[in-house]
Amino acid sequence: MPSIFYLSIIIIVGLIGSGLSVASMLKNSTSPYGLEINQWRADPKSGGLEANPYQRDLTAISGSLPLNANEAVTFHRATDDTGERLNFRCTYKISDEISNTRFWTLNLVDNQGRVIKPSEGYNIALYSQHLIFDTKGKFLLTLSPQPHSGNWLPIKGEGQFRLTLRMYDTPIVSNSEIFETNLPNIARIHCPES
Amino acid sequence: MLNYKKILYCLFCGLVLAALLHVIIILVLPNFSQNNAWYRISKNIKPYTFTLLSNKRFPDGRPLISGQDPLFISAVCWFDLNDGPLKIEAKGYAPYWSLSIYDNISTNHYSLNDRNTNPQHLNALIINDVQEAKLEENQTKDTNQISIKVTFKKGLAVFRALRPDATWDKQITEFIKSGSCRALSN
Repeated sequence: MPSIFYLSIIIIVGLIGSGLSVASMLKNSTSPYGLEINQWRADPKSGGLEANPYQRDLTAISGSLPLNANEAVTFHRATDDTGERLNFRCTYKISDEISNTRFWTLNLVDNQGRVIKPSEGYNIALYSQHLIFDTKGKFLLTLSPQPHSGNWLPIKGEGQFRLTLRMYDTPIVSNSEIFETNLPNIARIHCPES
Repeated sequence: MLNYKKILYCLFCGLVLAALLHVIIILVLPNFSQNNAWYRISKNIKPYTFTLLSNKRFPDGRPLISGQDPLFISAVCWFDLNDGPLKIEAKGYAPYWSLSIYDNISTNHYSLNDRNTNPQHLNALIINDVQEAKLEENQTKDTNQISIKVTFKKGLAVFRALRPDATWDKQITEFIKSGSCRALSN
């Protein structure tokens, strides 16, 4: 066999192998380097100087300008407490507390991560300082297509959605340690068929 | 006649080559990605001007920069320290604001917020080593100014301010628009 045959085996295996391995590492939008608290997932180091090469690639590909962990930590959650995907048809109660933060914001995104706009006249996201808290500093927030008394975040759309929570000026991710924080539960109250 | 031993050896060499290429691709990809924030911004926005990100969209309606907090009004300015140190200033009030400095592969090198400085006056200087040494020689120190030393030349400054609801629109937009971003002479 001519040596060109053997050389081409090396090159073909090299090209295909590297292509497939790079693609599979970057395909998963949920980074394996993150942090998970009560089903809320974050990748706090991805934006800053401590990001590893895979995180840098994901940032570059997505065209985003991530906040670094000193400024804010961004959490995503796609499921309720039972593990079911969040759905626009349903009513949810988000409860308890988000501790160790100056303030936080909460908004809805679709499966591609795009912000979901609410009906005309409603705010696009929830700002923690606008919530009503009880005497212990806990809150109860209703997520529903129908109006509710108390803290209510209207949802409008079809199919599934995800929640994005950003905690600003929080010490929960410092250089090496991860501080305790409580992140809220999401209970499904009811879910009318179709 | 095929030499199976030789083929196996070649397959092994191919895998080694694949691993090597994998590492190289992963390391250089951010610099060549035509999708990264630096590329998107420097192709669509003038340098040394804070430009509202909410107004900037691709022709198909997608936002120029994805993944931003919708409760914020943000502006971006791109710069090249070869032109001189970068002076950033803004005056106004917001319940929260921040300034982040990114390099040209979207790594957030430094961020400061209203609690790190005078909350109604953003006054920062972005410089590199050489410029810092020069600056110390002809000393005219602005004591209210925060100096941010960076190791790269081309980058982005993003100025973000919290807009809790629509009643804040005018005030926050004015604050962001007051932002200036200019190169001082070398």
